[in-house]
Amino acid sequence: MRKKELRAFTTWIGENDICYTVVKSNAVVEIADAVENTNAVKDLSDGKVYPMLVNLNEIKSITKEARDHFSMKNREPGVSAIGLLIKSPASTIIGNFFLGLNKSKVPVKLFTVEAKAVTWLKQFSKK
Amino acid sequence: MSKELDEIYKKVSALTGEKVSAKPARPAGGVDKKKAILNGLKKLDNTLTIIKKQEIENSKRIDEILKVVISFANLNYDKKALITNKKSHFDALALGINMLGEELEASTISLHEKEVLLKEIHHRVKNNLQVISSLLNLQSEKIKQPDLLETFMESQNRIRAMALVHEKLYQSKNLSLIDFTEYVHSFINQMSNSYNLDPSKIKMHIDESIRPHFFKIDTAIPCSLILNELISNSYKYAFPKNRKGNIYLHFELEKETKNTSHYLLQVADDGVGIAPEIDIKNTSSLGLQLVDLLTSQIEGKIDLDRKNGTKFTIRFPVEKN
Repeated sequence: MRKKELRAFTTWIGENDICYTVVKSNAVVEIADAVENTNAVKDLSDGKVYPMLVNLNEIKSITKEARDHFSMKNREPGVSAIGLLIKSPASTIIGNFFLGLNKSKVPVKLFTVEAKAVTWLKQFSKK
Repeated sequence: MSKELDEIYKKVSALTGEKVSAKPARPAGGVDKKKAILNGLKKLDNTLTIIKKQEIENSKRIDEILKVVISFANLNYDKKALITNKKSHFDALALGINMLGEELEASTISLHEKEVLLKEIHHRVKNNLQVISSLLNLQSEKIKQPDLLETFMESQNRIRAMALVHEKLYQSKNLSLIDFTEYVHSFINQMSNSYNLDPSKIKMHIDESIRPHFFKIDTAIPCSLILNELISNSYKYAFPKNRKGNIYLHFELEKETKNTSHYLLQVADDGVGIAPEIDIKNTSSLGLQLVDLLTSQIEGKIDLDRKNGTKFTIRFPVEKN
């Protein structure tokens, strides 16, 4: 399993065909981080489109430009769906922005339990 | 006493999350009970000081976040609420406020861009209409036949009437409504200059009690053209052979019932009067045909009174606005 350690994220493709991204503790996600993450996912997926689980629990903040990038309005989504793992108050706020103001092109759902997120994401796995 | 103290300590522990107790870690043995109580009270005092400090800090953060919200409400997005590494609810609140501010700023900018664009469009339309009017003017200089020259002038006036609507629109605050009362005043000035009228012979009277009435472009353009035709008609035909006279313009909002009302636009003159054989519903005059057509466009009705000169009354519904 290849893992990418980025400035603000750790990203890898799981054996269950789900792309995992964990936001690092107190990370302030900027546009450069967002693009870096997209490139890492692209590189790891090798042409395949995976559903993605993003663990936002440790995030500190995210800039408008990064949110716009993740909302995928002006680009092809590299993933089929996004499950956002939220527990901390900050992650709950950010998660909800991706359901409304920064709504993504692909289906997005918020979860507090990882197992439930994985079950939901599996339906978007392309065989 | 010790039981009561224990209760207090329990409550304080629950509040602060810190384990506080009056009981010493090891059995007191020969230690004086009073000393233990004193010790406990000291700890309690320390805890209360911490709580007080926390309260002051919370209050400061709330004030700071409120200042940011106020600043956003004033469309000033320079301030940002502080987010610490503590991952507290205050940090989440600050983050949420900052993010909402960013989204608000982005939408305000795009709204401003739209306004600028709309202003530019109205400006360009007005300029283009003025260019057309100037071209007609240049062409008319070569025309010798008086009736053809008049046709050119009429067309020019119609174009100018529409250009003035666009001019008023880009000067208006919200770019979609114009104050028709203000328009009327500017329009009359424009018309008087165009016909080169001697104010000592033909006096224009605008009802000064007219209050501001705001129209969208869909109503403003037909109304401006109707006004142009009716006033031109009076200028051209009501006062032949240097006859002196007056033109009256009245415009108001008339209440029909409690819930329904309509606009009333009246152009009257004390001139020679319109020929009795002229039927405004069936006329060869382009001007009157236009008045009839444009009145239908704003779902209005025309009434013509031929007593003591000519009085056109047009009523049209407010709902169109």
